[in-house]
Amino acid sequence: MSTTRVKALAKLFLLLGLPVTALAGLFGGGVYLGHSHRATILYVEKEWLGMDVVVPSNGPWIDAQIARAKDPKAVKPEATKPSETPETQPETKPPETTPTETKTPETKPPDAPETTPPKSPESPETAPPTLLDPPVRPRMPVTVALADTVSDDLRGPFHAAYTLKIKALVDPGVAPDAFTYVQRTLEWTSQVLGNQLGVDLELTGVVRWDGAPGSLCEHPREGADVILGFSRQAFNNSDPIVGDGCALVPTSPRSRQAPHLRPALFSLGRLLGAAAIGDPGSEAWRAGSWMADVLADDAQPVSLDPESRRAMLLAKDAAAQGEPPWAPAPTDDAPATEEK
Amino acid sequence: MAAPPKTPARQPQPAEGEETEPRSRLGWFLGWIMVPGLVLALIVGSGAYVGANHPESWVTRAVLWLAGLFA
Repeated sequence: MSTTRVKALAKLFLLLGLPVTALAGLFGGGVYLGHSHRATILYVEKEWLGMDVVVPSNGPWIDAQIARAKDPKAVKPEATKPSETPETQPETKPPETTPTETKTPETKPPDAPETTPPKSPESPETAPPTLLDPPVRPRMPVTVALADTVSDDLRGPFHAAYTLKIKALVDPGVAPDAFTYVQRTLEWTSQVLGNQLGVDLELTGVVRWDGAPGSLCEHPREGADVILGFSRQAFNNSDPIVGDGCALVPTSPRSRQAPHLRPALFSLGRLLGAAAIGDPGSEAWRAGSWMADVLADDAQPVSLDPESRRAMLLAKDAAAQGEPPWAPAPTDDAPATEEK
Repeated sequence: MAAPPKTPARQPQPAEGEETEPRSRLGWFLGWIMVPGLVLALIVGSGAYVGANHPESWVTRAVLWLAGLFA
């Protein structure tokens, strides 16, 4: 190859290759940034640009970002003005009482016990610690769609605090450490239900269970609202899912990260009065609602269709008024098991 | 003898690389800051859109693989 040809190729590379490489590098950097901050970008696209996208919830940090965007004062307990707090407040409030959310640590007398960090209004401080209160909330194993804004008539039931007490029966064959597995699954379930319905789950107890569906509802509730039976068996059309205040939670073979998450959401949805959607061509099925495609794999974001959400919110409202909705359910409540 | 024709007085030629007239600051800002910045922002923004909305596409996977080589 002659020197002239080498020089021509070098010039060609300088004139074309370097600009193309620079452009590709810029574009690739953007792709990397977009993938790294996917939840934030999709949230901006949905809330600010009005685009029809599904926003994943990657954990508590995105909820804090959303809460800060919606109400900047709600997540800034330091914004309370300590200088305006009357000095007579220590006399009116004994040190033994737990501080309210508007009370600042500066208002405590010098000999007061150590103050606790400010908590959100959804977690009442008088509630005793339960098994669902680990120090660090486990990260969601699957993508969860952010809840849409509720309509005006459902705003009251949505924002009303409600805790559903659950007693879990667990088949030891569901996982090597079945008790921890059930606790973690119910924590994930509580996060999803809290996002969609404003319902928190409180695990009152975990009991070993032989997995027989017939004996599920015979166990004493022991103060719980409902009994959930975590079974190693997959969904089938022979065993009823829900009974009187009890529900079976079969496993979902297509989910590797959380095989009992969608089934638990489905069973609780049935207990809360939502119907199983068995039409694979429905909008709810295609959107990945857990009341429809309960056997979806982990790539499908966990979401809830508006009709089921409305039914559950109305049931939550009824339960909060002392009329629990978990009455005996019809027998044809098994979800459709048809593949997509 | 006729006098030589008068040539019009020429403006002094500017030196090499010297501006004939000063550019406006707005033109300089548009030409060197705004337009290049807009083009770069469009390129990076389009990449971010692809990375956020198509996380499983081959472009995103290729970029992540390439970034993983240097991580």
